[in-house]
Amino acid sequence: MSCARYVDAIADHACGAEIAPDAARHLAACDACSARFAERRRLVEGLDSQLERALAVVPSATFVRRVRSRIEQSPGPSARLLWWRACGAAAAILLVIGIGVWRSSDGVRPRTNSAPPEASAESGVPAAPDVPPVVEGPQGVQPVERPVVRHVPRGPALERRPASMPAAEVLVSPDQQRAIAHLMRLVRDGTLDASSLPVSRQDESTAPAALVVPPLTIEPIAVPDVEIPTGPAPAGRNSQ
Amino acid sequence: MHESASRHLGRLVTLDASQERDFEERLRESADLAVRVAYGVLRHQQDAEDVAQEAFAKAYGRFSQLRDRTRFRAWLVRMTWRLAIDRWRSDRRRQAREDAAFVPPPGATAEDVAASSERAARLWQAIDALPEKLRIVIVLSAIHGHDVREVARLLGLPEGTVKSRLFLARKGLAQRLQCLVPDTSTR
Repeated sequence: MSCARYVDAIADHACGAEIAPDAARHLAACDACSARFAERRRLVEGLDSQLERALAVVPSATFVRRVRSRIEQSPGPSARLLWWRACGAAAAILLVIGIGVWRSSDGVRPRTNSAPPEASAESGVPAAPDVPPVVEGPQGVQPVERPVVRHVPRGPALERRPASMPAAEVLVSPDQQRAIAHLMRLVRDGTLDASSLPVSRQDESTAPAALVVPPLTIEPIAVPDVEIPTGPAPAGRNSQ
Repeated sequence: MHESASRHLGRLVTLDASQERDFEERLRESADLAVRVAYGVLRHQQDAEDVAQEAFAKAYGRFSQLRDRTRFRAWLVRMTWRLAIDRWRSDRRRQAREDAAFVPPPGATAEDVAASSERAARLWQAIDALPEKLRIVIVLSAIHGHDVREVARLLGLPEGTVKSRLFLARKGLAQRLQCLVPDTSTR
């Protein structure tokens, strides 16, 4: 009667499970349960040894050599990884080049703290007006990053170009060429003072055009006098 | 790795000379383990070696990413097991291979061979019927006499979990293979 109570615990113990103290005491005292336990234990050990024998395969003598040849043949994920790395590097290089081209064509770059403020004075162009510093919180006054306009010398400065230096190649339309030539003629003749020209790039392109456009004259339109007859309306309109 | 392989692979992978030597050493010491793990699923020597080679090739490609080299065997076991399971699931000729899987001991009679072959077929059927989590535990514990601690290390599991799964696997096998008791008792 007590054997039925412990049969599962004893069977599990044969498969490797822990056994409760009372079941262990019964197993030690009961011959029938000890025989069942031994039989079950032999079964489990037999399965283990049979499985161990079945899995005792040895790789063939050419296994390592075939692994090597397989590694040679298959590109593997590292090749893909290298490809992606190369693509990333190329994209980064293109991005850097693109940013550099954009910055150079835009002509605006942030001023660095090491640049002396007299740098703009050397080019003969007055420096940009100072911007009052911004106070950020209680920490105090912080330096303000301010864009510096890169000016191109104009007027008399154009004539300072040595003859050995090739002229800059600028893509302009024929109309722009004519406007520039006219402007340079005016400056050379002394008709136009170069220092009076505006300094910003935007004005640089519009100033010559403003010089060559003649003032608009509006002529009065001659309107003839019209005589409006007065008197009763025609009789035919009221009859309808 | 021999020179031609190194020269060819130099364009594809980033293993330096010390890593090449390290991988070569681990390849030699873990070849048995990988083949046996694959054989535990496929029961076909050629297929098992093929899967083990694939696992080593994958391991070679990712060897430089493995920070803790002491975990190479665990890494390899799991990779090989996964590849073998994938192969086993896609293999339609598995039943035919099971018949040829068992190699009888030398000097065995025809009756012994037939009985052993039948026992082996039943054993593998019972193992195949186990859940995968129990299956890998019982297979690994039967390879190289791995104890619970070593199996837990290879699978990255707590020892208690491995012990529990090993017990459940043995219990399931014993329940399915009760008929083998007379055979095993006579051994």
